[in-house]
Amino acid sequence: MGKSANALEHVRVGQVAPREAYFQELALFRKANRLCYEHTRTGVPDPEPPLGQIRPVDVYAVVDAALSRIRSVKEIIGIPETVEPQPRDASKTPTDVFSSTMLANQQLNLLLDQQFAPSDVFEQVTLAVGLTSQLLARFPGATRIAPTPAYERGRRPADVYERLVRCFQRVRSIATVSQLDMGTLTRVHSDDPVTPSYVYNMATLVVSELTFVHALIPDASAPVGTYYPGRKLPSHVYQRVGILEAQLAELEKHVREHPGWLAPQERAR
Amino acid sequence: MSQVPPATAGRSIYAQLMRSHQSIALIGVGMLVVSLLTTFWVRSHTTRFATVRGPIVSSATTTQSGLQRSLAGLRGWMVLPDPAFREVRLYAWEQEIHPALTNLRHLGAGVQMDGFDEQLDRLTQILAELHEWQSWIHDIAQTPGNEPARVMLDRKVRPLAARLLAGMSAMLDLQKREPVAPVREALLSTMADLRHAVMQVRTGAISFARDGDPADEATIQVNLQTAAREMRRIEGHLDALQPEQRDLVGWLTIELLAYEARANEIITLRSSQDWNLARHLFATHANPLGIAAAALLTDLSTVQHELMEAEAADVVRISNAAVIVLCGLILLMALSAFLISRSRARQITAPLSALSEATQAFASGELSADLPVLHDDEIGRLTSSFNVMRASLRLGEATLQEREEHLRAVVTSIIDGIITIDVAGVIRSFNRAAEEIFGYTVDEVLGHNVKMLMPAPYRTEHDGYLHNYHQSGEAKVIGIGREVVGQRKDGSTFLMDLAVSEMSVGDGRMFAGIVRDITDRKQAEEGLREATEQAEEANRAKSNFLATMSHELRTPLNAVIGYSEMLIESAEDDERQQDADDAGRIQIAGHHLLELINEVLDLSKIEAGEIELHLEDIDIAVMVDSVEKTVDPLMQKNANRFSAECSDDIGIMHADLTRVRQVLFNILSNAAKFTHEGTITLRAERETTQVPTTGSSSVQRTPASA
Repeated sequence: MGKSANALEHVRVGQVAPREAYFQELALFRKANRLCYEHTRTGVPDPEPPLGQIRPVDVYAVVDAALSRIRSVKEIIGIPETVEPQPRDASKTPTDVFSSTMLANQQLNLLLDQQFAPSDVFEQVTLAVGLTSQLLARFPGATRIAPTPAYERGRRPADVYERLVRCFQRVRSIATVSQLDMGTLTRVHSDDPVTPSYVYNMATLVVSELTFVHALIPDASAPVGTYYPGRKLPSHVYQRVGILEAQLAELEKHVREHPGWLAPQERAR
Repeated sequence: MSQVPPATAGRSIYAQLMRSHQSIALIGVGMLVVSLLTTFWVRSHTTRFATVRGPIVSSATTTQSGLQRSLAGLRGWMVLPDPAFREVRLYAWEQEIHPALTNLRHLGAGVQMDGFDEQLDRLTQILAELHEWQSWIHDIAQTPGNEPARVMLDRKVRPLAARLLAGMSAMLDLQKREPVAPVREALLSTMADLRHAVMQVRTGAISFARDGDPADEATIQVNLQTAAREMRRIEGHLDALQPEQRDLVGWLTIELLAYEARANEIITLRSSQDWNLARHLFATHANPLGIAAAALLTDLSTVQHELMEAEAADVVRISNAAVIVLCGLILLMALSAFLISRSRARQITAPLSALSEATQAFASGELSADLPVLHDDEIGRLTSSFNVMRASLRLGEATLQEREEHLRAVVTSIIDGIITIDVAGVIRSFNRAAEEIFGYTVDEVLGHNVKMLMPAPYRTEHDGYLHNYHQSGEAKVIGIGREVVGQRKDGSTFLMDLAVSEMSVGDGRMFAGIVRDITDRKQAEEGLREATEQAEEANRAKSNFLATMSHELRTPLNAVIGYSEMLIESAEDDERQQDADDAGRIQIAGHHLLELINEVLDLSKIEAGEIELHLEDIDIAVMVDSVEKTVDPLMQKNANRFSAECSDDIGIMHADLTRVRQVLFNILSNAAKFTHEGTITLRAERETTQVPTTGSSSVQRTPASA
């Protein structure tokens, strides 16, 4: 339950901005924090979100926090620290960081007793729905939260993943119309099955982009906070991503009618 | 005759009437205009009531009702996850709030009111936010995450407690294997206390997460302290523990710290204001938004209510004023109409009254002179026409009188009695001839039933006749002359001709009977009948005479003729020519006489219409020759010469030989008789279709035969 039986195409993200890397690092931190709790019975809250534009230093802070949690585990387990700090490589881009973080995320997820499950994806998607509803609030008369689509039995994480990829493409299309730069997705073949962890990463990516757009609206209300939804199946997540997809379609329609909807706000990467 | 008002030259009655009516109509129109303006004003307000104010209030009320319904549904859902609550909430939004909001937006286009659109925009925004928050609250309310303390309890504290208890059990099991010693007993007691404290913390956490009771919080804190204390005691006896127990103590210490931290997190989470997210969001977002929306809707309704009340007051005020004004106008119109009508009526009817009085005077024969024409209008023309009519009637009256006298003279002088009766049979007129016929004077019969002029039983028959005629319309006398019996005043009866005709007089019917005493005529007819019978008797005697004469004369004549033929034959046999000739003359004379007799009989037959012709083919030449021989002696009597001119091939004719010969003989005998020493020619010629036979005489005929 909750694991994909088939190896499907994954995606590779390009032209990554610090914000996208930041949210992947945040996912990494959460997994490290969960791992740490499982071994040390200690946990810490998420790092405080940065104010304003997300910079590489903010990404670094989250990575450092995650590393700290992992070191705690190593310490209590008794694994000596053998990794030497690497010299700074100026050639590395946020895309490289993003890819490395994705890989680390997968590895870290495998170490967890309680791996990231559909309920965790559900939380992220719910957050994305909240963000999108706030964006739709910019358009009077728009339906902020789309009606819940019908529940479809037997959906797999891969289905949720595909739907989230479509959502990302939709967000990117909105960004393009709004003259915003956003990362790209490239499909790549992978033998790894699509697990909830993969789906979580994709949901996090979508949330990162929506958070970015949401931050461009100064008077936008904060979305509703995340909450534990209880045990969820991929079909539940698929259903909720359906809400998000419908919201994004509506948002794109309005944005195309009003391409300058973010003006005169400053747009920055 | 009343005083005729002075002439109003150039102002016709038509114009006066038009002006009068127009004056009244003008007042009426003015009143209607005022009424119309008032009605328009009231209509605009009532229309606004009906199409704007009322619907706005209604929509606002519907929105508010939907709002309360949605909040009630949400509250219900937060308490009990019954899908019915969700349906109630969705119904409120889809069937009440959103349609009413759309309607308000639509109605807002027709409202010229400052701030209405802004209020509506604000309301729309609030409702959109409320809708979203309701969705979130609905989404959260029935998830475990709605109460983070319980999530912490279920996902962290309970597993930690389970592991701690399992660790405690393992410690106790190991300790029980130790030999009995005071230290062993003390450790067992401490471990039991630790285990009890962990269990109490779990129980307290469960209760506190559920109820938030401070007593449970105290229980948690006390037992956490107890657990820590007992753990420290155990750590103080590490030397007395087995190595395996010492590892367990290290593990339990970490777990207990985590347990303590999570239990405190439960206290923190449950003690926070947002321990129940749904309720917290409801209280902090949905409820304020609902209150704000309700306030806006109330404001909208209140404003519209106030406007409606103000406008209603205006409507009432204007309506009252309109009623007063209209009543005044109605009174003014009635008074004006009365005064104008009376004035115009006087002007118009005064000359008419004069003319009416003149007409009455004329009708009673008092008016002998023309009325004066004082107006150059319809009245004047009517007066002129009246004068012309009066003159014409005078002339007509004289003519009529003359004709009546003439008719009366005719009726009086006519020899036939003329009686008119009505449908009941009552005599209405009775002329002089009728007086003479019946012996009654006109005064004696007028007004009496006509039956008095009839003897019994005709009187009763007359009643039945009139009744049948009235019932069936079948006429037995009307239009049909008949002889009836009349009764004079002296009771004597007489025959009379009666001709009855029906006539219409006004709307009724009358019957005119013309009677004539036919007593003398009947007597004359009786004399004539007797004379006719006598003539017929004489005729029968003549016929008998002729029959007798025919028989008595022709018998001896035939004997004479027979004997003359015998004498001729005898004389010719004896060659006594002279005798033969004489006998021949006797024979001819006998034949002639016989023919005369036959002629008399023929004449008798002609008179009686009994003549018969015996048509046959006649040789004309033979017939002429026979005639020549017959008339030759007659020709010689007056020294006349006779010549018969007829060709032998003249042919035959189809006729009665005897009658033709008789005709020719009569003609020639007359010619011979009345011609002296002349020439008488019988000429027969053939013409195209008939053979004319002409006789001519060269001497002058006597005047009698001319």
